[in-house]
Amino acid sequence: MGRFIVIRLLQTVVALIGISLLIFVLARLSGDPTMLMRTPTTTEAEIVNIKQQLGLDKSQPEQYVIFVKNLFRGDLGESIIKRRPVTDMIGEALPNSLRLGITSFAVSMLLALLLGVLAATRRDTFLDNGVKFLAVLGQALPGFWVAILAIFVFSVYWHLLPTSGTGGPAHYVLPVGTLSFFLLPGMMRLVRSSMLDVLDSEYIKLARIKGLPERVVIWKHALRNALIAPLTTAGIIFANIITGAVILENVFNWPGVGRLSWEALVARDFPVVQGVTLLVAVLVLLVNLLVDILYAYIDPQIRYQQT
Amino acid sequence: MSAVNVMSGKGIEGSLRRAKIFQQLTLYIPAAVLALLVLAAIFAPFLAPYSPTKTALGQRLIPPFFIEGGSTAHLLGTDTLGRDILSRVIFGARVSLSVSLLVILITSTIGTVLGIIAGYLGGRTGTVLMRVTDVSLAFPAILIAILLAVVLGPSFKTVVLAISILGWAPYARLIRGEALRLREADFVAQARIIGSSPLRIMVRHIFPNIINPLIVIATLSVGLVILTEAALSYLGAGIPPTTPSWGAMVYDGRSLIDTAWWISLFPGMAIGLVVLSGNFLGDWLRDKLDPRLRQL
Amino acid sequence: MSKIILQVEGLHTVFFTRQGVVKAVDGVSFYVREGETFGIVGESGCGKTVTGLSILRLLPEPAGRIVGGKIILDGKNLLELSKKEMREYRGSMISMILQDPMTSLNPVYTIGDQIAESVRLHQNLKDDAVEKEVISALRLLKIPAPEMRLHDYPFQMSGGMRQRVVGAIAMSCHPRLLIADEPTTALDATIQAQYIALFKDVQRQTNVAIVFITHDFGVVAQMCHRVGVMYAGKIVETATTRELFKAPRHPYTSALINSVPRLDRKDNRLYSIEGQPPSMTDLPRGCRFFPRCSVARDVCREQEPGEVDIGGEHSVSCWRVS
Repeated sequence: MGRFIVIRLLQTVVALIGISLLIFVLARLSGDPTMLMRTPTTTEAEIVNIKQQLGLDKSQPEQYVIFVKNLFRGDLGESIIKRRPVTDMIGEALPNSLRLGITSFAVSMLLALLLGVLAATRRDTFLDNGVKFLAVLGQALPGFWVAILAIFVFSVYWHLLPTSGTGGPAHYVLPVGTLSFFLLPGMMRLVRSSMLDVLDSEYIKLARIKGLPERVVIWKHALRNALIAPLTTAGIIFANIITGAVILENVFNWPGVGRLSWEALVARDFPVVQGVTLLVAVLVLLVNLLVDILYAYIDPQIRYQQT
Repeated sequence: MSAVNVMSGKGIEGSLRRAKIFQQLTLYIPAAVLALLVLAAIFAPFLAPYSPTKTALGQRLIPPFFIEGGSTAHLLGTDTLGRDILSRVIFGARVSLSVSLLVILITSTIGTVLGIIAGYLGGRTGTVLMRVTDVSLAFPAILIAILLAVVLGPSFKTVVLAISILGWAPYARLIRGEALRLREADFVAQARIIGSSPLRIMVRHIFPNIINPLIVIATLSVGLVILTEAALSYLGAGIPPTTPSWGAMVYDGRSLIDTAWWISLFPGMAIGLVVLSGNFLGDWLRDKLDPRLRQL
Repeated sequence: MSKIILQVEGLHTVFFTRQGVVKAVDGVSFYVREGETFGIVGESGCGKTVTGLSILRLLPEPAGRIVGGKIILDGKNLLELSKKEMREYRGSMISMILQDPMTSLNPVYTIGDQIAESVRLHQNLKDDAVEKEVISALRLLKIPAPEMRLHDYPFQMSGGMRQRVVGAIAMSCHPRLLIADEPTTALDATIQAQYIALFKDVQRQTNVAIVFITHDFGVVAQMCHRVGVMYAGKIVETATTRELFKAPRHPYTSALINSVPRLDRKDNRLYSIEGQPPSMTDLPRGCRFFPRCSVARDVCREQEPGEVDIGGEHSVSCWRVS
């Protein structure tokens, strides 16, 4: 187990180096950053000065080392438009995104488990078909569109909820609701299909032969096994949360990292986009690492083999 | 059970018949919708009643024909610049179709090659490839797209590149699994016994056997690509504005949702309908060609 | 003679499938005494496993359903029990061993947990008493060092050991009836013999009645006191094992016995049965063995033979006998 985690950690570090290199190369591709800082009154001397400040007069490998050093100090550069450290901007936006993302994840995960298991155990019933229908819609309708329609129905037409922004719990309902609506189908489908596979197995038959109540058969014997398969896709679910957040923060004017990156996109503010991308890359790797460890925890076969 | 529960099989037989009809509907309707999409994309100039970009300031914000104030001259109404929504929806099919075809071509090729290599050759190469695949699967494509749009500027090429850059990963993962399974097959062992090179085995023996799952996953990914493209267009990281695209049309109408809801509604419905059809067709193909892929 | 513990009468079980209604069990009757092993032999697909699952009322729902008959266990018709009552019977009164030990244990729980679960459910015991019961169940199945194996996960054990654990789970609450569905088929030949000897021993100690489902006449000869030969959803011949081997009366039984290779016969020919079992959705009108029978007559085509008791616990369904 210990060895297993160390290996995964090392792999994560290697991946981090790869990603930082990739971003660095992209940053140079984006052209001369000083071009964007020029105003009609900027002199050549000022440009040279800025280049020196940013270390752009050094060789590429040296620049990469500086880039990585800055990263370790938590320095992601400065926004071209706002003239503020990117780290600060992300620091302000991140808690909002986390609140949105974690609430939505919790809501959709709970619903996915509940509905996925119920659908699998009550196959071809009204409930199963209803769940399937919901899943089909959630996977086909564009998120921004549903969000706009939801604003129209609940805020503009019925005046039930605020249209956008942050504030009280009411502000959470629409963003969390729409984000969950898109996270739910994938998770639910996975839980359902993996549950169906498990329910078909011999050990479930044996659990029933023992005379265990159906509730124990399903929630104890089946679910724990059924969770192993969907766990491998936790990374994909994480990617979906980010994607959803970028789109929906924009629709609901939610001051998170997603909206930040959109504002930076519109303004072509590269350092900000770079900072957000790096942050997400680190999170992605951490999620993958966490999944591997959790996986080992749930499946004793892995837990024991690696010791 | 004996006396209480003895039932005729009628209920179950009936539901089996209903399931069969439903199964056929989920083939024909989606196939028809997708055929319509292709036709709309190819023959857009002949089908669209107006030019999608022609502005007519006197014709601004006309509602669709079934609403009071609407007319049959503009069946689905007009937008803030007086452009005909129907024509723009028809032309928008071009963007969705061309982006998704190109992306699927690129991603399936890369994914298949990497998947076969990782699955058949395995070893250290395979492990590294699969680690990269896992990370790519977990990385949100939309951020890469935003990054590229900032670096290269939004364009058709940027969109295709942005979606493709990570889009190969699901293919690679699936194909690797298939190749891993086929590697143990007797006919592969046979080929190895007679001395075929690994390359020849991968091309001649492995590849023909993964075409079915490849078709299934390619069809299933049509919807995802169209959704991603629409989201990028909505955010302004997609195809630049003068070309009509469904995602950008929804964006145009978003602030007018309380008065001129039709600007956003119809392109959004077009996206939903096409994606729904792609998913249904993919499901149907999967059941026909490779029921083992139920997990997809 | 000891008391009859299980009496199955005219059991009918059907499956509703896309191809039509499958009459998997089509009027099966037999009984088992305490301390006795009754074998059900037949080719795969003849309905023997479905018979076993029907007794436990664990058919795959909603496709499978019992549509007629009685299953009387110790004086109670199981088909008249409520779902809850039936569940209380399972594990405590009746238990079952499944075919494949590799897949019939839950991979994420230790074997101790899996046995204790059953004990805790059916017997009102304190924790240390539960553990005692678990260990005695493991000991009954002769699992070495039971106190230590308790904490093992299934994947840490061999197939033979796992099948013993499955046996321990089945026996942990002292059931009156045990259904064993091909429990030795997935095991190696040497382990198979051990397992059968083990079960004879378990039976001597506990006096449990066993319904032993198998396709293997060799196993029947070693394990069973009486045997029912099943063909296409029906038991076509029932007799004591000795009688069945000595004087089989149904042509299908003779053919099956002759298809087992034997070294003690001069005649080295191996017999096989021509043709395929009939499709279960479309059974022949007369005797269901008629299309493959080498001694069939006209009446066999037209009418199904009834069961005839020919004395000495031997009964046959064949026109040649009646």
